[in-house]
Amino acid sequence: MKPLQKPVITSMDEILELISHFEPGAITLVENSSSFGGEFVISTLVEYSKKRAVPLVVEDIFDTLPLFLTHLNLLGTRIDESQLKVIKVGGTQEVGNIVGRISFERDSYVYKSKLEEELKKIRGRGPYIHLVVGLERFLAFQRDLHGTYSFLSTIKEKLGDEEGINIHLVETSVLTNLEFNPLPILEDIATSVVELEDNGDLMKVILKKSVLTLLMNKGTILVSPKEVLRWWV
Amino acid sequence: MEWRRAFGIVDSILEGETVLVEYTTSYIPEFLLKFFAEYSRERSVPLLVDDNFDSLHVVYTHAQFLGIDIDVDDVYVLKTGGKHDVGKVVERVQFHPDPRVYLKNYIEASSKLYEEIQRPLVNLVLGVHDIFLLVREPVDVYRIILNLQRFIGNRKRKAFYVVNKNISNSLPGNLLPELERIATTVIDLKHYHTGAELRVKKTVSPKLIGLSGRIEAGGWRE
Repeated sequence: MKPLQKPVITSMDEILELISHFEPGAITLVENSSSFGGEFVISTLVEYSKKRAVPLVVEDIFDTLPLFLTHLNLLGTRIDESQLKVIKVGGTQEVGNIVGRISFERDSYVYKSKLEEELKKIRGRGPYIHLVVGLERFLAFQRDLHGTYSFLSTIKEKLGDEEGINIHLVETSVLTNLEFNPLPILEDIATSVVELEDNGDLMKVILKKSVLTLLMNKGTILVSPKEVLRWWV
Repeated sequence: MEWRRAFGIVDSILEGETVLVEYTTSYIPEFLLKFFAEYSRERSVPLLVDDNFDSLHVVYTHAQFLGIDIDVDDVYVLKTGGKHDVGKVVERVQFHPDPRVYLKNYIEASSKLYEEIQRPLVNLVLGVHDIFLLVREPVDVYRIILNLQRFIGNRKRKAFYVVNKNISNSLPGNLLPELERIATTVIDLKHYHTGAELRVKKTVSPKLIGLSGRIEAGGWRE
């Protein structure tokens, strides 16, 4: 990995190169406060999955994924839905290729064991990306600190897994407004933390905690979603 | 300041001190683990890690992803909860949501350990906030704080509590100010790209008063 030459990332290839640094067993936390950061992450991961032949599994909590896809549609980006292997957790709007369905479960341990059961269909065939969207909606349903804590513990358990490249995409504003803000703990558990912010018509990627910072000697990256994804074109 | 020169800071901490090491989201815990493991080897001082709820596993695994090589074979570990063993786990503490039961278990296990090791040691405490998350009542928070207070002055150890300031502030109660008050030395670490800015906020050790400087992580991927 060499230091970036250009001030702004404008091509999909450069983004795919960054994603290739996400390793199985690591946990990456993407904290979005930008307008369409989630949409951007989904489309680039779909592209990555296709180009590099790495399966993409989305744990879709309470219809968060369909929301992103609807926005993408309006932005004029069509993504290949068949590329998305979706495990629905609660919710009713179905998109992508549904491989599993679990009913909403407040108890984290029951939730986790149901999920493990579904993941068996995917595991055993090498690395796959496990993207979780809508975590903040799940945490909003927790009654006390204990519920939140045990959910965070199940995330901790993913660390060191041999196949799952774990990415948690969260909405910063929703999480930090919960009665108990779990973000600092999540950041501690995560191997890498990346923040997304609006910056004019660019997106600022802040490497809050990332091996890329050490490799590139850089704390932030500017991305032009318009050019990478041809939004509004 | 070069990495190795920072060893002098640990040398200057008095035996019996409880040191609070504060940080915010960064790889500071990973570099601290490497730092203390190297300190222990170079100075022939045993290192004991209090591993609360797999916090050592988390830090050690992150370090591996970063390509930071840490030798934990000689690190003694006192493990509370969790299921992933790292280092030489010598005692296990059964956690209990009633801190009176938990503290009794902890004190028993740790006194057994101190008898075994028999030499002054460096005690690195990781994941302390998990304990505070798991107790239910404000009075329980104070039971634990009072217990930490009781260990101060125990000349068999120099203890370093590694605490994420943002986590402590997100917990109910008045955790960080209380921890800062009972600590004998408070060190604040603020990270930047390739190292950390160190500032001693409070200390009983004359050599450390007003100390500040940068520690370069240099050579982290040797």
